[in-house]
Amino acid sequence: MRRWAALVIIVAAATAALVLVQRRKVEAPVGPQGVLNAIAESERDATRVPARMTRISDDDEIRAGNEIAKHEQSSESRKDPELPAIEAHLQQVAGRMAPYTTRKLPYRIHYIADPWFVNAFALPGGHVFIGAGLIAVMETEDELASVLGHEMEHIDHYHCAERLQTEATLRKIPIAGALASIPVAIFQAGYTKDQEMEADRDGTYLAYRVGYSPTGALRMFEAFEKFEGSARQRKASSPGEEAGEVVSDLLTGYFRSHPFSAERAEATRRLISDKNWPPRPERDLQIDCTTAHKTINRYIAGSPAPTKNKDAGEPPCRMRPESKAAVSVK
Amino acid sequence: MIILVLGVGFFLAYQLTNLGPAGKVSVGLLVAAVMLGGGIRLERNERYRIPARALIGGGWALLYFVAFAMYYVPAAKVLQSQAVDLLLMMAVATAMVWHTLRYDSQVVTGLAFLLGFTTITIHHSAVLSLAAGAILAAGLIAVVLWKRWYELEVLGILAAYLNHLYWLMPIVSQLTPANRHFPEFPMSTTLLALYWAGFRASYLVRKIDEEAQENVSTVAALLNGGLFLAILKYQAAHPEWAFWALLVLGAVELALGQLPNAKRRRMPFIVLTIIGASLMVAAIPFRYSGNSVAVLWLVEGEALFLAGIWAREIVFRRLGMLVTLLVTLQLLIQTPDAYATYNWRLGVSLLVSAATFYFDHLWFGRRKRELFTHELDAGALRVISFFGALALLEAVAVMASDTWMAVGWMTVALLLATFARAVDSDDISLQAIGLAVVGVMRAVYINLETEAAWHGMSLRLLTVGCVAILSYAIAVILRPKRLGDEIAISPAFSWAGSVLVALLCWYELRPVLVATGWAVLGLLLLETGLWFRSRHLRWQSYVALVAAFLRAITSNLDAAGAAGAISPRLYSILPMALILYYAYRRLETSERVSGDEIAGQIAGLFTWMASLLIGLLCWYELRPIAVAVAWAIFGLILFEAGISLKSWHLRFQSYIALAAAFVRMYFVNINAAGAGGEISPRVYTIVPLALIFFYVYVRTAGNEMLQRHGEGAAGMVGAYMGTATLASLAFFELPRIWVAAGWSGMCVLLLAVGWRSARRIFVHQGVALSLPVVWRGISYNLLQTPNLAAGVDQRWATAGSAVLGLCAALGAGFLARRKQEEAPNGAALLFDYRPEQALFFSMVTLLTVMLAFVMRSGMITVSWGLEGVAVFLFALLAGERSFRLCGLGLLLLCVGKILIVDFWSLGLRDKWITLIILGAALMLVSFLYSRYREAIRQYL
Repeated sequence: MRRWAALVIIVAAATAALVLVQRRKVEAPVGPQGVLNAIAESERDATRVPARMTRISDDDEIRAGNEIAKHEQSSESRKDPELPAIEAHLQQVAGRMAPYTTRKLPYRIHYIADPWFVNAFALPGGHVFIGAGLIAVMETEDELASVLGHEMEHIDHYHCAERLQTEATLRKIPIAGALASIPVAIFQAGYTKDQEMEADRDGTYLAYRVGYSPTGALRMFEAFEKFEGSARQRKASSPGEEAGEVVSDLLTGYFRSHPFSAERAEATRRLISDKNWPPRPERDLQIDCTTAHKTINRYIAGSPAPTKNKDAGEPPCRMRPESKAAVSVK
Repeated sequence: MIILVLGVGFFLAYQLTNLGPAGKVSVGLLVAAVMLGGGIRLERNERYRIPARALIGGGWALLYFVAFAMYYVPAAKVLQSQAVDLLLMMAVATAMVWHTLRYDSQVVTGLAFLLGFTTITIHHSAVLSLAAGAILAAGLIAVVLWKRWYELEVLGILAAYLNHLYWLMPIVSQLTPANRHFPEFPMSTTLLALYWAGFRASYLVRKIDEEAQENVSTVAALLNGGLFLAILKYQAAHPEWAFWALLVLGAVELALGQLPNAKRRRMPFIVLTIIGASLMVAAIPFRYSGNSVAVLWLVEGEALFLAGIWAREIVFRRLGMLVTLLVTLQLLIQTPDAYATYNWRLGVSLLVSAATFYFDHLWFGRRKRELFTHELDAGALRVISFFGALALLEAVAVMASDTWMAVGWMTVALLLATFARAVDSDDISLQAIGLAVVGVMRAVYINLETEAAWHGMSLRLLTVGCVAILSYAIAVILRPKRLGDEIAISPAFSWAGSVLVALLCWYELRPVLVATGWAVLGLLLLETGLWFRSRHLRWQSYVALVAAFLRAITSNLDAAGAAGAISPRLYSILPMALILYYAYRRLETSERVSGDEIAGQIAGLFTWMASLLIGLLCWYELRPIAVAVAWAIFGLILFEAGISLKSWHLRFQSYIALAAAFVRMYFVNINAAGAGGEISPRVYTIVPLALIFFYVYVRTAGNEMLQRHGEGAAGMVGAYMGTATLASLAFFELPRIWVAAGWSGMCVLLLAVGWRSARRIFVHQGVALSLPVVWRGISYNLLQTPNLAAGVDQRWATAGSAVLGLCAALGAGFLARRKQEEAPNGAALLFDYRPEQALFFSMVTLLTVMLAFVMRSGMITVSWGLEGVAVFLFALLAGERSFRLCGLGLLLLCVGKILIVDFWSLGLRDKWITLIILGAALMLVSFLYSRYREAIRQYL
């Protein structure tokens, strides 16, 4: 009798769950993302202990970061006449957030005057690079703050330092040695889902902490979604197709493990909800990237890749004339 | 020589002015005399015998012609009386023949006759010249009969008729189709009749010495009749007389064949009877037409056959059968033009024919068996029945419509099969099979394609359905004998019937219901097969069910239907799956297939097919997140059914379904985070899965049958899957920093369950899960940089919760250990007897590392020292030496740390606090060691 009662209860519970998801039309992405994220997180956990045991000092990290950054700063984009003004503005935004980071490092923000550089990345020791292409996607300073906060948190959480350590170990370069030979691409490639989520969470917090709206981060993720494409929710036409897609995603996803923007946006919404952060008005971006924006729009529209120097001669971004240097913060 | 004779002939006909008729005749006579004299003289010499005989022959021929010319050739006419000339010619002919006979050479005499005929041929000046030919022919007949030179008669027949034809040709060529009368017609006909009569008389009266002579005579007899009829036909001035002419001539030939001499020689009897019968048969179309001809022929053939039976005469019987068969053949060849024309007269004719054939076949074949002992006769009697079947087939074809023809054929086939069964005739059975094959083929190629309707009903359904039913009926009736325990039925027709029904389903049903239709067919066949104990019907059901499955897999799964409505996929596949399960159950439980291993294996296969269909149906019909739940429910139902029905097939399918649900969960349900503020779909879809996995374990562990079948391992896997499911859910659902605490809570639960239920597997799992708790607690919670958004250091709460959880688990571990010690059961695995050991060290490790990370650097040693004392006290309480050593080890660690690190790096305040507290701790431990020395020794 007890057995039958248990059976009935279990079947009833399972049936109720089944009916509920059917009636509520609950959607769930089909794919190995969850598994891959768990694997990536486990790998990260596995490396965290040795990384902690062998962690370099802040001074060594700053010295190594300076060396790598110096190499990156020698690029062509440094000749943009608008660069000093824009970098000063970026430094100002980041400077407001720097006091609230865990690690007290000299955070320095670098502008890459390339409309095709739709990215931002951080180097060990406090260097953050942001491309004109990414700024062109933004509409408000809150979005800019969320991006800079995110990159600063990669540094704050030792993500960059640990990657530097890993690379130096793999290349058998002493930390005090020729670190400039480590390509910047290593730091541009993104981090594990767990690390990205960590940087998102605390980067958003930093921006909010100094008065920016957390919706800036959400708007950035929505913009990134456009680059990632759609149709991830489409149901496969057969179990065989679904299995093929899952296997394919499993193989490719293992090497990516970078979270999708929708997932990051959802986590940020949950953070806002959990913390009861009130909505705030967003501020206009002080940088005008009309030229770069045109280029980016062409890219989003899927036009053939134009030459990199198509708009050469005209800076992709410039400071707005009416911009005020100071922004009142709490 | 021939040329010489011809030259003289021309000379006599030539209108020479210097030489009168007498002169010409004299010259002719002189030349003939010289030739004859020279020939006779030279013939004595052996050396010149051949040319001499040629001279003799030529001389006589010339003499004969001179006699002929003396009256008939104007240029040589010396006689005024035709009668005198005739006598003269007969005298010459007689002398000629008489003389050549002296040499007893058929060649010489033949040559003489040839010359005579040739001479006449080239001088047809009047119809009376034919009389010379007639006389010549009469002479030849006389010689033939006298000398028995029957080969010579062949020559004579040819010469006489062709000579006559040669004469006729210029006359007939002048005639028009409208007017074919010519004055010489009576004379010509009379002369031809005389030729025929003379040669026929010769044929009948002759004496035969050897077989070769009879053979030549037969040729002559056939030639005589054939040429006579051919030339009569050629000169036919009255076609309307043909019927009577042929009928009379046939009757005469038939009558002549019955003369005693003819019967005595046998061959004339055969030849003349055949000729007579043939002529009588041939006569009929000249007066009658259409079906009447066939009927009259058949009557004639049957009359001959019956006469043969009556008179016990094989020729009549054979002729009768031959006529019958040929007529039927002719009918059969012509009838296809009349297919589907509702030609009732023809149909009735064919039916009468068929009835006659079957009557002859059965009645005489059985009652007069002694008359059909010869292989040919017996074979013919059998063949005649096959012609009967063909006649039936054609009869139906001309009486039925295009659509119903197949049904008609099948009906006739059924009647024949029934008849064959009644009279026990293999031949008729075979004919029934043939008709049925034709019927089935027609149904396949014609009826299945028809789109017509009859009173609103599909004609295809009606006719093909009828054909299928009749096919089954034929299958049953064809072989009624019982073979052992099984009623043997003709498998081919039951297969044909089933194929027809299957095809009918394909044509008549909507595409999505075809597979269901086939499944229903398979079910009906299965039940029928079991009822009749028919292996073939069962196999048909297997094929139908497998085909239904394949069709469903390839066609139905995409049939989604309109949104909001029940999908065609659902209502087409679900019944099919139920039918497959039912088929499995029927085959498993039916006593009528007991011992049939293949049936058992196929039954098992049906369950796999059905389960696969249900599994796929779940995938297609449900939302992705619901599929794993559905599979798990389905697996649970299969599991219970497998136990109740004692079916390992169902149980293994359940294991696969549960494993599939488990795997799928990681690729779908785990990703379903849901919206904030509500229980996520991940939780309420995964928890039931875990419950189902645990249920399967509990059920397996408590079931003796499953344990006996070695399926206990599957249950254990189920238990591990359940725990893994919950652990995974905790990992994905809880905030990252609370995962370790969550897992530690699970440890407590698992160990508590293991203790309460005395199920060691949960103890294993609890202990095993403590290791990830420690790992996660250290690597994630403690080594992670602080969460800025949290605002406070959460490590105390998160890692501390994990430690507390492990503490609770440790308590449960002790209880579980005690229970195990009280009631040891079965083989023990790792941690079975000492689960608390791993739990304790896990807890201490995590706590120690946690203190190292969360305590201010100055207070780390103090906290470790307090921890060491606490552990030591706990060890004394628990009576565990390993714990006590662990506590001492922690204290030693503290001492070492003080000496190596703290003494040199700590601030003054931290230094004295550390030294005081640690010193007190060491003293306390020392006191306790002294106080409880004896007790401790006991433990040691």
